[in-house]
Amino acid sequence: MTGPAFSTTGREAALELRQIVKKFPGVLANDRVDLTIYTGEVHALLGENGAGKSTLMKVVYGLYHRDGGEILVRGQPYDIRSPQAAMALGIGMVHQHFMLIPNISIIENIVLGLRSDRYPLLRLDEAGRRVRALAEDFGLNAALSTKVGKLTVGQQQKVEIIKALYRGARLLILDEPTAVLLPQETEELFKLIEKLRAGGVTIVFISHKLNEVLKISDRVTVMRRGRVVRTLTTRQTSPAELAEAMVGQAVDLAVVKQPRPAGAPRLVIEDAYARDDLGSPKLNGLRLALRAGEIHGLAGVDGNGQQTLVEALMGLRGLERGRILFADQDITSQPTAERIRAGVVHIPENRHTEGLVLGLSVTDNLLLDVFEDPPYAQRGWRQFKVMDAHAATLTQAFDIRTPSPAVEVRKLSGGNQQKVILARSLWRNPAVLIAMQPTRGLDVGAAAFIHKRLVEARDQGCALLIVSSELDEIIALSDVISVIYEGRIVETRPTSETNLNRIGFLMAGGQPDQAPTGRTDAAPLLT
Amino acid sequence: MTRPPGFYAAGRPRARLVWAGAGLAGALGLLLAWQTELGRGILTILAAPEFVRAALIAATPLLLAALGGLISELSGVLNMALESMMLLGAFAAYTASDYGHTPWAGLAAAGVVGLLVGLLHAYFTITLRANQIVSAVALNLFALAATALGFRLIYTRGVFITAPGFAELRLPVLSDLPYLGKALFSHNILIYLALLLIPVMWFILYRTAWGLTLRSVGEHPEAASTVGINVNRVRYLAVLLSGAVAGMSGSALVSATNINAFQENLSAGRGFIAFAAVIFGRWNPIGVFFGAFLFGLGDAFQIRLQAYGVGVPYQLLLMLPYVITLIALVVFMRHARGPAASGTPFAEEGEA
Repeated sequence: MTGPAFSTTGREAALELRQIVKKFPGVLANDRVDLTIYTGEVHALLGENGAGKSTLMKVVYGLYHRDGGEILVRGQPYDIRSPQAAMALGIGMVHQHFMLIPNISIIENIVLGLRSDRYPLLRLDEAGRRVRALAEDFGLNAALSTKVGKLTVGQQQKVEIIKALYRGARLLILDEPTAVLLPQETEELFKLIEKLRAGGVTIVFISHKLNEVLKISDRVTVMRRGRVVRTLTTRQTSPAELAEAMVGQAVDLAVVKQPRPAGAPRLVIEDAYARDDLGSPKLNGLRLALRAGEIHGLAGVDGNGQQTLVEALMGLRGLERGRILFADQDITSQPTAERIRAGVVHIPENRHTEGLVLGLSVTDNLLLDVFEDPPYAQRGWRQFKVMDAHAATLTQAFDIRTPSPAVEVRKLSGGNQQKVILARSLWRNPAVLIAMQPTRGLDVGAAAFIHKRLVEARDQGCALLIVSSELDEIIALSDVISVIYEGRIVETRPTSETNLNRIGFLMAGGQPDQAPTGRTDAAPLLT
Repeated sequence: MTRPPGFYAAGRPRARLVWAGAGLAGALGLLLAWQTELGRGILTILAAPEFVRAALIAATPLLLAALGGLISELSGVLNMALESMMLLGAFAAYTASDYGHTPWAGLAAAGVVGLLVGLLHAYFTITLRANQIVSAVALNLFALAATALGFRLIYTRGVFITAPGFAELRLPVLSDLPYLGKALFSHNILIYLALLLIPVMWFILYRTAWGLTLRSVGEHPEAASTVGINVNRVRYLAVLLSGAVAGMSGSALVSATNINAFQENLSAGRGFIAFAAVIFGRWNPIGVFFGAFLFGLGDAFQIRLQAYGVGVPYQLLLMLPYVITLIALVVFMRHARGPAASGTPFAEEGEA
C-alpha cells in the first residue's frame, strides 16, 4: 500500500464494541472484547480458526445475541437483536459461506425479505433498474435474471456485496472473503474494496491470511482464543509480529524441504473418463503420473474433477474409459481394500463424514482399515492388547493429544482428528498417499506438523498427491504442480518453473501458451 | 481436444430414438387394437367426452391435496400427511354438508379440519423438530382409525347416506361446445375453483414477496434468516395453509363419489399419490396439475374397463392408476430435484 499510515484522529467511530462477551455451551467465544472501527477505514480482524472473529461480527450483525457488553453505532448504544436491526443501522455482512439461494435469480436474491412499494408484489423490474448501476460499477457482467447457482464464486460474492449495499449498508463486514476466490478474483475484490472505501464505506475484513491483511487493511486487530490481542496500524507492523500475535509464540512459517530427485512413476492414471453421482462428466481424458519420492500438487477450482479423480484412484468410483497403473500393474478394476493393502492410502476431504467414524474410539479409528487382519484380530476375535499397544505407539508418534485412546474421536479437536487420519495413513510407510485438503480448518501449529510429516513421507520414497484449495499450501509443499480444469490436466510443471499468477490463470480455464510466465520465489508458507 | 464419440451427447440422440420408437409402437398398437372387438370398444371409451370429464373429476381431489402439499414442501417441510388431511377433510366435509344441509358447510369444515391437522404436523416437525416422515405416518394412521370410528358412531344406520353436493355449473356458451363442453365446461363449482387455484398459486409463488419468501425458506433457510425472515414462522404458516387446502381436497373427494357419500378409507392412498404428484410436477403448480390429471386418467380408465367387462379381475384394474403413477415417476423423475432444505428442521442460534 502507498500513502501515509492510517490515522484515527479526526475520524468518527462507525462502530464501537465494549466488553463484548459471547458464550456457547462449554466455550467462551468472545471474552470481553473491545474494538473500535472508524468511518472509512478497512479494518482487518486477524486470527486463527476459532479465534472468535466471525462470532464477534455475527453479534454485531444481530445473528447472535451477546451475553454481555455494549455495542455503539456512530456513538449511540443499540441492542441489535436481528439482522434486520443491523441493516436498519447500515450494517451489512457478507458471510464466508454465501447466504445466496442458488435456485433463484440475482435480483430475487437482492430483494429477498424487502418490501417493494407495492407489497406484496415483487416488482423485480423496478428493483432491477436500481441495482443495475451498482452491478455495472462493480463489473458484475451477468443478467440480473440469471440464477445465482450459475454464477462463478467471484460473481456470487459481488452479488452479496451489492445485496448489502442495496439494503443501505455503510459498514460492510466481509467474513473470510478470499477463502473461495482465485488469485485474480482476489485482486479484483481488493480493487472493489478500494472503490468502496473511496465511496465512504467502512469495511471490516475478517481473515486468517497475513499477506492479504497486510495488503488491504488500514488497521489490524488480532484475536486469539476469543480475546483481542492487540490492534496495530498495518503500515507499522510486520508479518512476523502479526504471526506471533496470532499464535502467541514465534512460529516457523516456512516448510523446510530439501531438493530430492524423484523416482520412477508409481501411480499412473491414463486417459480417464468418469462421471459423478449425478451423471455429469467429471474426468474427460485425464492423465497424471505420481512418482516415488515426489509431492505432486493438484491445483484447481473446486468441482473440476478433483473429487472424482481421488475416488477413481482409490477404487471408489469406476472409470468409463482409461486405466490406472500401480507400479506398472493394471489396477483399474481392483477393489479399494486391495489397493489399501498394496499401500495406496488416502486422506479424504471431509474428516467428519469420510475420514473418521466419529462415534468410535481413537483406537478403532486408527485401525479402521486393518482391524480384521492379524495381529489385530485372530480367527475373528479382536486382540485388544495388540490394538491398545498399537494405539499407544501411534498417539505418541503423531502427537495426538487425547485423554486416552479409548475416547471417542468426536471429542478431539480438529487438528488432533486430522492427526488420527494422518497416523492411520502413514504408519505403514505407504507407497502412495493421496491427501485432500490435509490442513483445512487447522491452526498454524497443527498445519505445520502435518506439512512436516508429509515431507518426511516424501523423503522416505512415498509418492504423494496433494489436493488443496489453498494455493499457498500447494506451492510451498509440492515438487511438481498440475492444474486441473474441467476434468483434464491443463499443465504439469515443476514448482520452480511456475508461479501463483500462472496457476490461477490456468485454474480459470486459460490456455497454457497465454499464461503468465515466471518463477516462484521460495516463498515461505504464510498460513 | 478430442472427445470420444457420444460421450457428451450420450443423452440426446438416444432419447430421440426412444421417443420415435415409442411413437411408432403406439401407432402400431392402435392400429392392431382397432382390429379386435375389445380394442374398438376401449378406443371408443377413450374417445368419449365422458372419459376426460371423469378424469378431471377424479383428478380434482389429488390436485387440491397436491397443491396443498406443494406449499408445505416449498417451505422445506415434507408433507406426507396429505393422506390424513384428505381423509379427515372428507369425513368433515361429508358430515358437515349432511348436518349443515349445504356442501359449502362441508368445504369450510374440511378446510378447518385440514388446518388443524396441519397445525399438529407443524407443531411436531417445526417446534419439536420431530422427523417429518414419522409425524406424517402417525397422522395418517390416526386419520384412518379416527374417521372409521367417527363414521360408525355418527352413522349407525348403515352406509350410503347421500349428503348435499355441489350443483353442476354449466358455463354459458362454452358448455355447448361439442366434446369440450361436456368434457371441460359442465362440472361442479369446486372443480373450477381447484383449477383456478393453479394460476393463482403460480402468481403468488413467482410474482409476490410472499412466494419468494416461501421459496427462499425451503431452499436456504440460513440465507433467509440473515435477511431477517423468520424461517419457522413462515414454515408454520405454510404448513397450516397446506393443511387447509389439502383438507378441502376431502370435500372434492366426497363429491367425486358422484353420490356424495363417505366410506371407510375413502381416500385409499390418494394422499400419497398427491405427494408423488408434487414430485412429478417438479414442485411447480402447473406440473402438479399434470401429475394429478395423469392419475385421474388412469382412474377414469379403470372404472370404464370394469364396466365394459374385460375379463380381468377388478382388483387388478383398481391398481391401474397407481401403477401408471409409479411408472411415470420412474420414467420422468430420475433427476428430480426439490427444495434444497426439504425435510431439514431449522434451528436458530443456540437451539441446536
